[in-house]
Amino acid sequence: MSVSINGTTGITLAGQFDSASTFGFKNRILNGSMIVDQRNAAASQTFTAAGALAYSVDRWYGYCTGANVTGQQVAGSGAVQNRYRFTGAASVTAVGFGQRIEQKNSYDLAGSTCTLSADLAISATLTTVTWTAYYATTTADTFGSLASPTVTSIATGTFTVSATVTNFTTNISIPAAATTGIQILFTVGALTAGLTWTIGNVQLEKGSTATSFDYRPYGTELALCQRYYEIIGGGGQSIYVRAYSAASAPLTQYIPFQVAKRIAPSPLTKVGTWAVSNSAQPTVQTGSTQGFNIQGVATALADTYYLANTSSEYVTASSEL
Amino acid sequence: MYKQVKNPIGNISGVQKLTNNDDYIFIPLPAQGQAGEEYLAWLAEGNTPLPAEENV
Repeated sequence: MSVSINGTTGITLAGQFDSASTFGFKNRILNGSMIVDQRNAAASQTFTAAGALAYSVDRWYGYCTGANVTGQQVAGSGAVQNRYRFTGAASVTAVGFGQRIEQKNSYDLAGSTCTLSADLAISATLTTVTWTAYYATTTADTFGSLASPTVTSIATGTFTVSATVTNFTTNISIPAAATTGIQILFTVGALTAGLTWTIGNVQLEKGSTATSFDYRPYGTELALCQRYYEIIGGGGQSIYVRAYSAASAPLTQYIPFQVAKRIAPSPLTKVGTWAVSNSAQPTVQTGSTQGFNIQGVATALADTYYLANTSSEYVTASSEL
Repeated sequence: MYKQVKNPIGNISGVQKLTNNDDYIFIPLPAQGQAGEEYLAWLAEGNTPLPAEENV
């Protein structure tokens, strides 16, 4: 790589710059380190065979065929705090793990060479992890379902893995047409009983050289993920609406999100049986990229409230792709 | 089954799908995202959501 030093224009690098201290925000994959896990908090999640894709650690979805598998955030090794691990089962025929990158975060990659990196291992027997890159075929950020995908393949290839976690890299030539969002998918075959598949430090960066992993502050990574999924409530009286209300009077509260969403969340899900007085369980009434309205209705003239007061009482907002 | 939901000023703002117990799924309209696509597919099958309850 050539380096030009000019007294007027400064230092110019013809290629990429790589260093142990690195530059931030080069990784287009969010939560590539698997450190953010709002949905499961490191608990095990079951993926239903031939079901819809299911989101797991933030921004990542999984699926399987043949039989159910489980997956969860696990401790990493060395300087890597976390990775994600699937555990196989008898009759499993395939497992997939992927991320959809929205148009706004991938548009500039079109027409360039990118590098995909990932830590991978399978405990035994299987030695192949297949990677595939896609773009949304016609409509921005619309990738379809597992059963009816609306994607165009960009490139695919395989990594030959072992039981030892190893970092693999490959170059991907992103076509000029790929301006609608990109999907990165890893798949394995028969992850049968006793086998585990470990994934970590996934990075997609512009350029043909794999550079060091882009470690971002946890709070920053969490906020980046909350553009797509957020939990509101969950104890500490975090949602508490109370008033002395006339019979049949609505008790409505607008609750803003911590982070504005990619699109109006679909769905917003109220979870748990909340503490209420003089009202049925509250219901979500409206949702936008900025927040939502929730409402209870007083059953009689009396003190009225609803309250999300435990870790199992909350609202989730999903704007995943 | 889905049920229409009105916002505080009386306009249809979304649909609600009962899941289990006291859990609810709310899908804002126009439908978007995975849950929205599922709702649109349900409509395409000829189904109709229950009407919203009148706001008080």
